[in-house]
Amino acid sequence: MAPAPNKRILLVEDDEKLGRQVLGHLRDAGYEASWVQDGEAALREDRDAVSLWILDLMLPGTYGLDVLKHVRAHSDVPVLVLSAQNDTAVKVRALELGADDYLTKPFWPEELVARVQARMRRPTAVREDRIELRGLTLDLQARRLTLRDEEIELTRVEFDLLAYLAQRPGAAVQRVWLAESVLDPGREGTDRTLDVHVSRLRKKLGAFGTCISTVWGVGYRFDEEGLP
Amino acid sequence: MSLRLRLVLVLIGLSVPLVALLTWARASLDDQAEVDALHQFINGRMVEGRAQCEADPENFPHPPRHLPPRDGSPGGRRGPGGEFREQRPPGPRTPGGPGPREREARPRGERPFREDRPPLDELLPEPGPRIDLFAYGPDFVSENRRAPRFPPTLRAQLEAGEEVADEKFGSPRGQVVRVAARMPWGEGPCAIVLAIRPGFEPGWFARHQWTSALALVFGLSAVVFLAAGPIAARVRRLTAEVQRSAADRYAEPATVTGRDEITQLARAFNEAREQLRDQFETVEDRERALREFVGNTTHDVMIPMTVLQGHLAALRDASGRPDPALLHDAMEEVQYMTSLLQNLGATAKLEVGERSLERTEVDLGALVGRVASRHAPLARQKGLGLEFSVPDDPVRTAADLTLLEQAVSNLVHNAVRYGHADGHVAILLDERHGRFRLRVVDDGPGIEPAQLERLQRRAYRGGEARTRYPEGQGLGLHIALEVARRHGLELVLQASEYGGLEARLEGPLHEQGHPPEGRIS
Repeated sequence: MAPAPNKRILLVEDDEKLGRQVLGHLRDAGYEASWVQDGEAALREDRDAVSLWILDLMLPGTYGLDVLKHVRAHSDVPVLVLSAQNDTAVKVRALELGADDYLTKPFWPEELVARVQARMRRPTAVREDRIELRGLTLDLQARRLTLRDEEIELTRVEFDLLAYLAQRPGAAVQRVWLAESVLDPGREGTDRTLDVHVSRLRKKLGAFGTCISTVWGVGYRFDEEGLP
Repeated sequence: MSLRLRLVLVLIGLSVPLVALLTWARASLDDQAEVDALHQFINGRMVEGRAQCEADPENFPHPPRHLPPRDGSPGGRRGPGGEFREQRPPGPRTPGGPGPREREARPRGERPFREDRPPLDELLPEPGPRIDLFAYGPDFVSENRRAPRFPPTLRAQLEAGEEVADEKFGSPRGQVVRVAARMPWGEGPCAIVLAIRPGFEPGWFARHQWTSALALVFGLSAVVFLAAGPIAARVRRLTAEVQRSAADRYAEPATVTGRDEITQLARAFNEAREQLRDQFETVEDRERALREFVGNTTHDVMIPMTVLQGHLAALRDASGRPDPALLHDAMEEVQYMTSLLQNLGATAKLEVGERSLERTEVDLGALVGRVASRHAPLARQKGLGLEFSVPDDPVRTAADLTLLEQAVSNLVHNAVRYGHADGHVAILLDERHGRFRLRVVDDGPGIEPAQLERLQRRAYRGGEARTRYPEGQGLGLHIALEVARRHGLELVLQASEYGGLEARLEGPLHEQGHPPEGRIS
C-alpha cells in the first residue's frame, strides 16, 4: 500500500477554521494535502490521486457516511473519519462501511498527525526471511546478523531476541511475550534472565545497540531511529 | 350504557325467546295430549257401546250407563239436540291420556283396547266440556241422521291407512278438536267413531299466557334493575376514587371494601398504584441525579475554563516569547474539560438510558492505540512517558465501543493527569485462555487503599464519586467501574509494582463470526 510519490491526503471538512488548521498541521508534518468543504466536491476528486481521506461526517449536502460508501465502492484507500458525535452507532456504522480509523473532536493536532502517520507508514523492509534496516541485516534463514557488512556472532537466544523485536519495529513488546518465545522454558524462565540477554545483545551490537530501547512497564522496542 | 340497563336488556333479550319457545312446546304437547285423550275416550266408550251401536245405529249413542263423576254428580247429560254428551276434562291435565294407574296395569307394547282396562270414569275423572260422539259405517256414512257429515280431512287421513285421524281448528268459542278412529272390528254401522270436542272458553291464564309471561319478564327485569343498584353505586364510587387518585399523582389508595369482584378491582388498582408510585420515584430520583450531575459538571467545567481564560490573558499580555509552562497548563485544562464532558455523556448513557448500550465487536488493540494517541500530547508536555503494547493479532471483545473507550480513556487520563512530571504510564494488552487483559500501570501517587475500596463498592453513585473526589479522579474511575460492571467485565484497581496504581480490566474475547448479542442492560 505504499503511496505513489504524487499522491496526497484529501481533507473533507466543512468548517473553515478547523479545515485551515488541519491542512496546516498536515503540511507542517510534511504531507501534501488538499481540502474540500463538502461531499459533492469530495466525490468529484480524482480518487486515484488520493493516498488517504480525512473525512468529516457532518457535511452539508452529501452526508459523510455516503461519501465513505462511495469511496469504499471504488477503492481500498485508507479513510480516517472525523466526528463531533461521540456516539457508538455512528462510529460502528463508519467502521462497518470501511473506515479504517476515527477521531472524535476535539483532538490535538499531534494526535491527528500520529493517526495519519500510522495509516501512511510505509511498510518497513521486512520480509519473511530477511530484515534490512540502515546497515543492519538479519538473515532469518541462515540466522546471521551483519552490521555494515560485518558479521556478528550471536547466541541462539540473542538472535531470536533481536529477530523478534526487529520484525516489529516501533512496537513495544511485552517482556512476557519475549520470554515465552525466546527463552528456553526448560532452563531459563525469569524476566531477569531476559534482561541479561538483552544487555549482552546490546554490547555485541555496539553502536547499533541503541536500537533496542527499554520501554517502562512493558519490555523492549526496536527503534529504527536508534540505528546509527 | 349503564350497568343496570345492560343487565335488564340482557335479561329481556334472553327470556323473551325462551318464553316463546316454552309456550310453543307446551301448546304442542297439549294438542297431542288432547288427541290421545279423545282416542282413549272413543276406545273406552266403544267397549260396551259396540253392542248398543250395532243394535240400534240410528239412535247411537244411547244414554250411556251412568258414569258418576268424582264429586257424585251425573257424569253425562243429554244435550239440547238430544244427542248424548259425555264429559271430559277441558285440557289434557294428564298428558298422554291414560292415568298413571292404567299405565301401570297395562303391559308394554299392547294396545289399550283390553278387557282389563280401567273404567271410563277413572280415565276421565273430572267434569269438563262435553264431547260429541258419532258412529259411521266403513263408507263414512252414519245411520244416525243427526250425525254430521264425516269431515273430509279426517276421511282422507283414514283412507290413507291411519288408524286414528285428528284435526283442530279455531272457532269463536275456542279450539275445536275432532278425532276419528277405526274400530278393530272394521265393519258394521259402527266401524268408525268420530269424537268432537267443541271449543270452550279457556281459563284466564291460558288466555293471557303471553301477557303473563311478559309480565313475569318485566317484573324480573325490575327486580334485576333494583338489585343492581348497589353494585352500580359501588362501581361509581370506585371510579370516583380512582379519578381523584389519578388527579393527585395517585397519592390516595382506593378504599372500596368488601369481598366481591369490585373489591378485587380496587385491590388491583391499589397494587398498580404502588408500582406507578415506585416508578415515579425512580424517575424523579434519576432526574434529580442528572440535574445535580449537570449542575456539578457545569461548575467543574467553569473552574478549568476560568484557569484557561487566565492563562490566555497572561499569554496575550506576555511580551516576547510565551511561557511554555503556561501553554502546557492551558492544554491540560482543555484536556480535562474534554474528559469531563465526555464523562457527562457516558454518565447520561449509564444512568438515564440504561438500555441503550450497543454491543458491537471492538478491536481492543485499535482502541488502546487511539486512547494512547489521545493522551500522548499531554504526557509529552508533562515529560511523562506514555507507552502501550498490543499483540500482533487483533484482540476483540463485544462491548459498547464508546463506553469501553471512555472507561479505558478515564484510566489513562487519571494516570497521566495525576502522574509525576517524569513518571511513566504503560497500557498493556494481552490475551490468554480466551480472555483479554488490559492493564494501565503507572508510577504516580496511587490511591489510598481505603479510598480504592470505597470506589469499588457497587452502590457508589456518580454524584458521591464527584463530591468525594472533587478533582474528577473519582468520577472517571466510577464510570470505568460502572462500564465494566454493565459489560460483565472485571475491573480491579490495586497498587502497582512501581508504587502507583494498576487498573486491570479483564473479560471474554469475542470470537469472530459470532455476531455480538445486540443490546446489553
